Amino acid sequence: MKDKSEGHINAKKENSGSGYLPNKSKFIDHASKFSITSLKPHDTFEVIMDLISKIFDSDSCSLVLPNPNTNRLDFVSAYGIKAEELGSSKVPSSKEICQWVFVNHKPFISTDNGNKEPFKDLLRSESDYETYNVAVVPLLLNGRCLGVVEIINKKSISAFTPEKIELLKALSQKIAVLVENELLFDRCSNQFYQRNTMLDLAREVNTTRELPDLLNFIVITVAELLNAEASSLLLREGDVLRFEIAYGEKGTELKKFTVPLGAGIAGSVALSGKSTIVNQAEIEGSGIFKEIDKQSGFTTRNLIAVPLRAKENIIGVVEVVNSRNTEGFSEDDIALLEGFSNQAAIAIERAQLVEKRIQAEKMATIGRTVAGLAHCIKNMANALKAGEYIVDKGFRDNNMDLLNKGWNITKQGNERITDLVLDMLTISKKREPEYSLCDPREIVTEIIDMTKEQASDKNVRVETKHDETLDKVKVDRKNIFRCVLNLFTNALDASEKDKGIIKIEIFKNKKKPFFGFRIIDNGQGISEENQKKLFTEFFSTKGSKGTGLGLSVTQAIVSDHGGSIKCDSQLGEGTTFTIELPKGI
Amino acid sequence: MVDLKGKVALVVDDELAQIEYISAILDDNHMTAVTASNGIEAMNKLGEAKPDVIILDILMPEESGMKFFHKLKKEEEYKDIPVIIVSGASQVTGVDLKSIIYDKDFRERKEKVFGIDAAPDAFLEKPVEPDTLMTTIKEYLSS
Repeated sequence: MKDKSEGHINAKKENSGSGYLPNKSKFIDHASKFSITSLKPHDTFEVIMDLISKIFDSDSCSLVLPNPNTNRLDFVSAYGIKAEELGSSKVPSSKEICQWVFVNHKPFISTDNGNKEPFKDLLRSESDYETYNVAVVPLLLNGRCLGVVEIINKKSISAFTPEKIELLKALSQKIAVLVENELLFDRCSNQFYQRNTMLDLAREVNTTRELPDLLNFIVITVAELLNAEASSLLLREGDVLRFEIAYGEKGTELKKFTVPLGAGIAGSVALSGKSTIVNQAEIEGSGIFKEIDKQSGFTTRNLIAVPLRAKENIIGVVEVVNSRNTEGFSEDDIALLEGFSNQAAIAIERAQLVEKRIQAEKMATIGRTVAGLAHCIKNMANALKAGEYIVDKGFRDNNMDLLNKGWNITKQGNERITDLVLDMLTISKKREPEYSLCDPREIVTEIIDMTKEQASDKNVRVETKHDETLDKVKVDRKNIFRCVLNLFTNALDASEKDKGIIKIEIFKNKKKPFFGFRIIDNGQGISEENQKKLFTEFFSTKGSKGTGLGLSVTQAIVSDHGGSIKCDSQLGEGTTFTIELPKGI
Repeated sequence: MVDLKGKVALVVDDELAQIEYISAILDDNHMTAVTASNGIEAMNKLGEAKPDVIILDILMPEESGMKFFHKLKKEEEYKDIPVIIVSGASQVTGVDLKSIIYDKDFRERKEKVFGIDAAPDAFLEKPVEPDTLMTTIKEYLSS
């Protein structure tokens, strides 16, 4: 009742303070201005009602239009005393003045309601507000009645004069045009919005995204599309449906719940595959799974639930709860939501498959990583153990040579542990390269110098070739050095003793600002099968000598730079590795 | 008690540290080590070294221990030399060589893995303990 009294005071204030009597042309001017604004129909109607109320100096004024879903007349917009009450009330068909006017296309004017039958009781029973005069005019356009305007209680003692009634009739025609335009515009923009939303989801279906992200998108979209307070999505897990995601107030509470198949609305939709609307959830036997409301603290007034169907299977249910429309959900809403859900289900199924595959790959990678690491560490422990034994023996035998050998083996073991840790860190996550200006030729010269002993041991010839037009470049020098060194030592390992020739080329890409290194050997080559595994961590053909991380590290560094790595190899003929990197300047 | 003095072992491993290690252990036990860093080299050294036992790694570049073993078993002169595998391979390849070697029921699998109906005499995992290595060597030299 509190609302009622406040409404009363507000309305009185506005009316009494006005003293506002615009003429007909002024109103038409106003009306035409509103008709070209981008206000929503409701806003426009309210302004019109406000104006009419002021023109006729009445207590209240309402616009009554038929609801296309229910075929009943609804108060679409009301102004003045009782506005709030009337706004939410429905006009019962066949019993009302409005209905009579709507059906008969004739205005109804009553200046002394007290004596007028059969409307006397009706008007009084509408609310505890006494009506003493009333004018209801039909909104006629091309022989159709769009609705009615109802004006109650002209405040001045003289009731509706014939002159005022004429004005009202003239205005009703203008209002009819306005209402028609607004409703048409509203319908168009609604359909446009729905079509766009459908297109959005269809686009989402085709975008690869992770499951949680996709589900989130779906629940938000359906709630907005159906103008509802909340929505949720349940996915089937064996014999239960699990709330995967919920949108709206208390949304996070819902995530803990599961619903048995067949129980509640969602459960039976999942079982039968038939969409369901419940517009009076409070009624006993509505089918609502009340346990969820009880536990989440959410109150379900109405809901719509449609199955998520991917091919033959129902993979879950989408629920949209508490429509903001006074009529609750309609058949149109079902059609819209079903359209959505068909798209959504396909997207969800695909995302689930991707997720499963990623999970399986992750587990496989972890397994491989652990096994690979264990093998590497064991090899290093082996080297340390060997070093330790030989050092001991050197002491026992007083043999300086052995001491030296043992100590070197120990040192190498330590070095390999440090390298392994560094490699692991490099491939474990993406790093921003530390760019600095450097000369790629210097990198190559240093590497050849550093490995000259190994090359001469094997009697391998090393040739270099530079593109003279290439200036300095901006790369992470230390890491690119590692890459080229890795590729070069690989080439050395693959080279045959006394026959090996390794070419290192520095080249410039003529089409884009890239440069690169090409390391060409005439060694044993890599089989097609092994080429596939080149960049797999811990894959090595070098026995205990290799960790199987070198190429993974190289690839990681190159990709951190935004570059690429390529391998061309022919068994028995040799291998060419090419890395290409942005010049950075 | 087997007298190890003067016995010769052919140590085949691609890793220098491992070769030095095994050689040191053998030296401490008065044996002589002849070394090779892959299967081809090992094959070439067989005639000169005339080993009493072969200590063999599996994963090696050029020619794997497996391939060498296969060839060895086909040589009438050398096929009875005991072969002790010392490897870390089972961890990476996922093939549990040890169980294949000791499980006599897996004849077929043995053939699949080794190419012939023969298996190395023993399998030791790296890093090998000096005592374990010597006990194994003694076991096969006495038989």
